[in-house]
Amino acid sequence: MRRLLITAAFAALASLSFSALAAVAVGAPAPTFSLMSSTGKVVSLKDFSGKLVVLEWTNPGCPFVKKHYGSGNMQKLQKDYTAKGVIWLTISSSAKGKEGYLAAPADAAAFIEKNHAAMTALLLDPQGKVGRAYGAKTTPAMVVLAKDGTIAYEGAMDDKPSTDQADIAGAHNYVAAALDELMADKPVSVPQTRSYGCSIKY
Amino acid sequence: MRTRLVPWALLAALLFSPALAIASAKAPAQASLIADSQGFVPGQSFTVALRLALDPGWHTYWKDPGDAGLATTIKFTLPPGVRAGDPQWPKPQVFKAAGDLTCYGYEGTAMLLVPIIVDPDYTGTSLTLQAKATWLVCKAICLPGKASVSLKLRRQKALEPSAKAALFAKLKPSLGQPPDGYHP
Repeated sequence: MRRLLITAAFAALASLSFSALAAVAVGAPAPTFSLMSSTGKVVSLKDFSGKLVVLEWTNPGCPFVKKHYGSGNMQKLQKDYTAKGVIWLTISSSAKGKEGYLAAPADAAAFIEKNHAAMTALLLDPQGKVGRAYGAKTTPAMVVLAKDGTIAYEGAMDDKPSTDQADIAGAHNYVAAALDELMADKPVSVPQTRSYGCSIKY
Repeated sequence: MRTRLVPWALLAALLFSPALAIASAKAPAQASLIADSQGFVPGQSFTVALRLALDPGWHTYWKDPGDAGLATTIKFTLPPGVRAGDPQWPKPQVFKAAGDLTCYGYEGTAMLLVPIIVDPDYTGTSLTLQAKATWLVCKAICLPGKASVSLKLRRQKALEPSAKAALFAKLKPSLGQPPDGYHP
């Protein structure tokens, strides 16, 4: 009994330190995951092996997310790149009861419909496991996976940290740049930046 | 004409809906511009501050917000012969959040200090400082804020401390200091 308790304590400690340290390294294999989508389907990262994948953390109430959806910037990227065969997975890691929590499927469907969003799937991560595995800190936070399943880009949407839609026009979009380079079989020139936004409501 | 009115009525209904009215009833941050002196003296500098009075539990951000958030900004419009120096940030607090997130900022009253330098040959008898400020204020949620603030000062023979001077004096030792445990 005592041994069991000690083992449990070690296991708890191990999982804690894992969550504190977890952050993805550029070039490392992307952590695998399976999450429920807004349409009630289980979506696994391995379903998309051999494809370019974008991960986008979202919280519809966050002013930085509103900047990119209110302007149509996010939807345009989703449309443009999914049309070129890129898989775009939008993830909500807000915990139940916190801002941005999407109770499947009604809230998630409403978010997609209201914004005319065009992601491949909107995934629900209310326990924050996938968010923590990727070390995602903000909404939006962006990750691009290369066709070999490694991390090719991790960080901010663009180089203008603000909530102002007017800043989008003059901004350099890191995600679009990384995708364009990957599609041209070029190395990603800016593989890591510091993401900006609201804290993810774990 | 009649058909055109309908969308406008809808727009108006949306703009003035009760939910929006409540959200904008009282912002969690109230901005003002204050000075450490009662007036100005040509050839001398004094200090002003963007003062954000924050509702309990809300915070704004330091120049490096940390893992999330956004730095407060202030941009002055000043008459010829008057210029603003670099902003001076008081030492911020550390805010920890779930997910191993660390942010830096201010609770209660957030002050961003800016030196104002008046040329010796400035001839005006009064001086109006105008500035536009932007900030992000967060509690369980985040709200962007902005304000136009201004302050009019009269020419003096010698600089006299204002009623707010004590606020500036209290912050002076902490100006420019990084938060505890800061690793940029």
